[in-house]
Amino acid sequence: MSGVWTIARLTFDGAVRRRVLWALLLLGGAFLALYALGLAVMRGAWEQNTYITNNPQVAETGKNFFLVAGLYAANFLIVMMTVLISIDTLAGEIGNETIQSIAVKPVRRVEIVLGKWLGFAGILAVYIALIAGGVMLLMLLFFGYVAPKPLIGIGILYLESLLLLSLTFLFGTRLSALACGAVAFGLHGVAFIGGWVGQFGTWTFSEGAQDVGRFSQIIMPTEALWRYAAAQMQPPSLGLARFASPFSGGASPGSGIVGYALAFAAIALLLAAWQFHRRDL
Amino acid sequence: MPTTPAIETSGLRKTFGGKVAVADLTLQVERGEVFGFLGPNGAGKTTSIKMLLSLTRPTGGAGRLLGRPIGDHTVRSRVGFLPENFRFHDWLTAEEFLRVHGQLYGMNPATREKRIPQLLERVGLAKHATKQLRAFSKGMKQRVGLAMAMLNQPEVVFLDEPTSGLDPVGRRMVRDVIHELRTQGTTVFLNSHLLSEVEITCDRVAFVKNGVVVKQASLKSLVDGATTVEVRVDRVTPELIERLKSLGRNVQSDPDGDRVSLSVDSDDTLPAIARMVIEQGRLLYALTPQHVSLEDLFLQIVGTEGSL
Repeated sequence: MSGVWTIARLTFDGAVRRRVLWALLLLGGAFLALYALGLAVMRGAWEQNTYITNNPQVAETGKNFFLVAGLYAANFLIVMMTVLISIDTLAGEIGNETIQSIAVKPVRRVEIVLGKWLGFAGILAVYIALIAGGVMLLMLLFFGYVAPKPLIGIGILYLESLLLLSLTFLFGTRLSALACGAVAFGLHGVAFIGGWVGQFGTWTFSEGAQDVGRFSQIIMPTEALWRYAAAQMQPPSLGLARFASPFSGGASPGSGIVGYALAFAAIALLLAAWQFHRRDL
Repeated sequence: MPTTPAIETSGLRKTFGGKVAVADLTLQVERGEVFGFLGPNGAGKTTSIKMLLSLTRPTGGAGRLLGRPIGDHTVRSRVGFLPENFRFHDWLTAEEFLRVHGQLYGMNPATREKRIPQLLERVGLAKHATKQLRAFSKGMKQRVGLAMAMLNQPEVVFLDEPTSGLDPVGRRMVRDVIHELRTQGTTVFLNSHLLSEVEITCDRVAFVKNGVVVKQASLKSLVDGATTVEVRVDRVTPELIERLKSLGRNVQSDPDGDRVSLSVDSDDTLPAIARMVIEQGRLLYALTPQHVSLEDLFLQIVGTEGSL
């Protein structure tokens, strides 16, 4: 299994030296700076508003809204980072034949897939800790606010990222890098739209729309994971306000989505390893 | 040295959809020999190497590499490979690159760290050890690839067009490295278009055409067997021609001329020809063996058509 760690290290080091990582880190930094500026401005208005300061329930709702809105944007960056950084690791290296000098070593193909996956999982862990952790830290600094279950929330965002990573690997064993990225983003888009339709279904009590939401989360559970993560970070005291936010968990899927996503990611990764094992290089 | 052949294949076949890339790869490469694998573009040479290294799954047939069935990943720690279109993670330095590949081979760290500078020195890149590979010229990349192929002191090395992109100095270096490998008892499987180099370096060769091995023989027997001797005498007589037919084939002469030519199996026949001319009472002016080049043989065996 030492081949797995060698390839994981090689992948991690390679990703760190790539421009796309630094571009997305810069973008993340810019986002956090803008978020901090927004929070600073809002805090000034907040302290002068007696309606808010006299109503703890409203204050709590507002702070949670700021946090979840920030994490919503962070989630978008995480999805981008996951796909863009891993899009060509298999597809690209198969296409340009870099993979050949690796695949002739005494290392099983499944170890190559696993090593690469672990390398990216390491990079994504750092990125998510920086971006999502940064949003939470800024809320703590400007509003002294800590969401309920912040680590569970971050953990679920990480699971969403790993699921997408596994799918990108699966598509990368058969498709070109460009097609692989298009399919991964396309599926996330389906989940996003399906999630919103389901959300509207909850607000309007439309069973049909809710079914569309449920169906889309079965096909691609990323959006459902986001809503579950958001729901974990919202206090139950928000009541109906949980449904009012465009970014929030709203009609959150049950905890079963975590198990489903874990199984989904594991099966995608296994299929990726199997496809890569079988294919000609 | 183990007695099993280094490479042994029987009817290895590969089709992509309906297209046959390799129809029948049947060959045997003995331990410690330098084996040339020759054929025109599109003959299936690279696909054959990929099957032997289990980069590509054969559609049919069987093969063994160092006594193990092809596809057995454990045998790869004893194999070296320089791919034809050698690409790599070019953000690594030459030293880091060899270290990563040494780790993938599962080499002992002390041996690996000792071997890396030695190999960089051997391929003429010692001064560039800490330079990123993306700054390397094509020839330098080929050199570092050659170092990678030798890193684990393999028992068999596959070199797919190793001199591609190299200048004459680099080509000489590759030739010397192949000689050294042979001296160390390493089997070298060489796929090259540069027939003059194959002629210098290889012990045996196989010609492949349309995915089939059409001829396999030692280079010496091929070249010797194709020697044409031109004999110049004072006068060619019918008796002389008859006698020469017992020593060679394709005896041809100009009836009124002073020259006769014949094909012989080996240079060992030359003194016998000289003796016979003298015994026939003729005056011998010249006896010139003309070896057929590997290029001529290649064209005879493989033909001029079919190159893609």
